Amino acid sequence: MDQIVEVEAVTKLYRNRRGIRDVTLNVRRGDVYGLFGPNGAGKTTLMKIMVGVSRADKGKVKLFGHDVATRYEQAMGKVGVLIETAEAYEYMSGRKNLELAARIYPELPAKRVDEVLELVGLSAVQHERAGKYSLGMKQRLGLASAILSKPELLILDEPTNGLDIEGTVQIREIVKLLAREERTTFLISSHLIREMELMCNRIGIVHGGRLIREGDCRELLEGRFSSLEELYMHEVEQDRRAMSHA
Amino acid sequence: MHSLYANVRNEALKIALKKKNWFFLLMTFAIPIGAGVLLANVQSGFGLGVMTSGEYPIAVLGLFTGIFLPLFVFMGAADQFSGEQGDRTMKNVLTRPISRFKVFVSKQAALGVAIAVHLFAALVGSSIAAVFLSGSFRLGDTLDWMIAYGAAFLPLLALSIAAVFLAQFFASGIGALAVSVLLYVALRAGAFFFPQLHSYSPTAYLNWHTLWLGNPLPAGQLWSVFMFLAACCILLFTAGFYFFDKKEL
Repeated sequence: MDQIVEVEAVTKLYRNRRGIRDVTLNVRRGDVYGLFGPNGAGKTTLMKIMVGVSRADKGKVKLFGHDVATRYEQAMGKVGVLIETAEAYEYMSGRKNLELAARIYPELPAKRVDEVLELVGLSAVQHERAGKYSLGMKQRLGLASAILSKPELLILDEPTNGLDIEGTVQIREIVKLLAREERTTFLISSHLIREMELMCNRIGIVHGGRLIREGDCRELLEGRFSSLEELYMHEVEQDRRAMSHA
Repeated sequence: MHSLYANVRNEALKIALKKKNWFFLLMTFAIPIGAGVLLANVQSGFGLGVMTSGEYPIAVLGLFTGIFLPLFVFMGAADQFSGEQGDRTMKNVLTRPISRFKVFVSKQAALGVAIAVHLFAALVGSSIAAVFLSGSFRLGDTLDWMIAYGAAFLPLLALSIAAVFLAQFFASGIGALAVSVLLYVALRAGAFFFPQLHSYSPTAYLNWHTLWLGNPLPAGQLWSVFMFLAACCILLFTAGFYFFDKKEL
């Protein structure tokens, strides 16, 4: 199966008429797909629908060929998720938080918790209460929890939120490492274009609740734009014009 | 089924790791002992025999099912549902490969386990205290205590399912707890003014365990109360899950 994320004409509108409209996108195995757009464009809404914590008004989402709305356990079996800011059970240690998550996966070896703690750099503080963690440490714990089950697909919403420069670089390196070594597929949202440029091979631009452009990074840039920022500004401007004429 | 068992363990662990729940458990164990010792001293000091050792654990159970354990049940339900929604930790479990039905069942089951543990702690505490009180107790008494404490589980479970249902309408644990307590007090107070209506509330049967101590057993009454509580459990569980399943984070 080549397409492991299939989003078909998904619409979700809130009472204030914001949300997403008629979004269709596909993520292929091995892609590092960047979904980017300004705050409030609908990236988080789309990701929430993909992982089943929100419901679409119209349309369908399939992960690994399974409909998220009707076959949730199968659809989420090989998926790791970090949506919005990572939240931990603050009265438990960081390690206990991960052990709780690990229990859901019967095949997971006991040493996996140690591996992910090492990978995200939290080994030294693993026994401290998560309530005492800084925002950046919580975000790392959230990432550790997302990669715990060795997922084939990682859905990360603004993964560098709250991280300092070192933490941001570390997350980027982890994404690259997993994509290269374990052929993990990524769907990452961010409003930080530079970050996306460094990590992604495919991108989708979300603006005003719609996916206005998607494609291979190199193909989109080729010959016409020097950076994703330039491409983004061009696409958004064109979209604004099209909307004002409509 | 693995994910269901795993999440029951997780939810039970979450309850067990909160300090306030340990405090509640300690109180459940210590209050009967403390009150029993105090009562024994008062009775021997004044030469009174108000309560014998055989009656004491049943009297304690009446107090616990009426006030103390409902409070724990409301707190547990509020923490596990609206509390987790307010803390934004609910998504930690809802984004795992486990269906919402299993999440709902496991949270409810863990609450049931916690109720059973508290009843057991109260039974042990009040049994220890009974030793200090005047009057000897027989093996038949201890059997009665066990039956009564076991029977008290069902109405408390029904109450917990009602509290879980109510928690679905709140996005913070404090709000859910406050409304649950107020509603409970209103229902208990309403029993004095509208006794006929009160019989349709699960809160009216928290002293169900007393029926089990009758000789002969009032089989018809036991059956009708059991059916009512079972119906409450099924209806409130179904309604609670309906709203939980619709919930968007």
